[in-house]
Amino acid sequence: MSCSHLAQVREYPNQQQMIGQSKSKILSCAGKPMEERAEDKWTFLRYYREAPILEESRPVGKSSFATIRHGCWATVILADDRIVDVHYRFVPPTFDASNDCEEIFEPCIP
Amino acid sequence: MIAKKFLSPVFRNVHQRPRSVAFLRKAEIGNRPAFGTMSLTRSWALCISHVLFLSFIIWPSDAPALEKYGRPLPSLEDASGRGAEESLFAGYLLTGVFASNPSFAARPDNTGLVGLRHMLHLETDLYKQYLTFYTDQNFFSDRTNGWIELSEWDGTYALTGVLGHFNWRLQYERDVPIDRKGITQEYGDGLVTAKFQAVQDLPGWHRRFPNQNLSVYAGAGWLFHNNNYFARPDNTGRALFRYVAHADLDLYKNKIVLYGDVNVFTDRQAANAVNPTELDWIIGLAARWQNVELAVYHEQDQPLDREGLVQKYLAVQLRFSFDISKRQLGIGVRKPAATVQ
Repeated sequence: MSCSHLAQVREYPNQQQMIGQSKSKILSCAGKPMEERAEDKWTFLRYYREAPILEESRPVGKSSFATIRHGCWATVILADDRIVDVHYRFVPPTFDASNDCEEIFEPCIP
Repeated sequence: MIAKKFLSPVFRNVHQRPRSVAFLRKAEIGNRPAFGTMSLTRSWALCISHVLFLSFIIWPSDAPALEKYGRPLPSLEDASGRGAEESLFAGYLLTGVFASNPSFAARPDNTGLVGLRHMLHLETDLYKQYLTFYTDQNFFSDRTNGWIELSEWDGTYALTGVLGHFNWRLQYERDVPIDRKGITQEYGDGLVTAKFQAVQDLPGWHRRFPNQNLSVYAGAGWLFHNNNYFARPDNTGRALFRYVAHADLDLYKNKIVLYGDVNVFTDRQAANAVNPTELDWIIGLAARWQNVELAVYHEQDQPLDREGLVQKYLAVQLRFSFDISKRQLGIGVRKPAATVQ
């Protein structure tokens, strides 16, 4: 089943390139996460990026047009100090904010 | 144990990347209980009807997931919202110079020629994306009167919101002269637009153009209150309806954007009140770096149903944005959770 209102979360270049990187590497390039949790052998790093308002609101004529504040959560999952997966989630889920999650890892890409 | 129970099938072999991705995708799109953030009931309801979909978005329920797993799974609590990262208020300062201006007036009575433009935009979400308040305070100077002294103040106050692909707006605008007495223009309008976003709505776009996007919105509005808001650039008629269209062509990762904007007015005093009488169009190119944007754009306002004054200019403008999140003010920040080993 699919629901057309939800923006589809796909695979993205920066997301894919993070797989296999170490925890110290991601902390050095993506910065400190909003949240860090550990359970058993899994470590979860949670990042968030809000879309810049310059993207969302544009001056037109003598006023402006505001669309929608949006952002993206990126959850990095590590096992044995290596990234095994990166999970994106859009906020709101109806708006494709993949570029915001990708931007989180932009400094990590050589 | 929780992580083991639900993640070990995925990461049994960390080199089995496709399987892992497929699992996550499934969780993201529909099978959310795999990560424990949404109930099966919710996922099912999403695709039953749009009404139910909206209800669940407005009142998300994690209760069944909590019952099943005992507590929320790590890292995905509040995943449907922004939590403390939600912007408390945001905006930008804009300053621009009308590099070429043969005819764009510096006051509501069409006197003078604009030299500089300064603007403050402020907005805050009153309830997520469904209800937002924003205001624009625009100031213009007259290049025929020394460039610096302000000649016009346009204040805009609006409520806006988004429902799926649709955006609504209620706006009040008042344009007044500053440096002398003259005509004041004001209106209140309602506007509904529909939005299209290529990366989301065009299958295959993301694969072909991973760093580009095309966003378009278009719609119509009604000026239900109008005090001297004219229907043509020569200050004749009274505007009644407006038809708008806007396109942003993101050329590279939202850092270089080509944009166009069209605004059409009708005249409530004309024989046909839905017939366009004025066309305002803009084309521009913007380059962004972090919280700064430099844009070059051209605007032309012209009558459509008769000959008359055409107002046009070419401007260069800078925007500096700011964004204060709830976290920055210590609002909604949860205490760090204990690490489970």
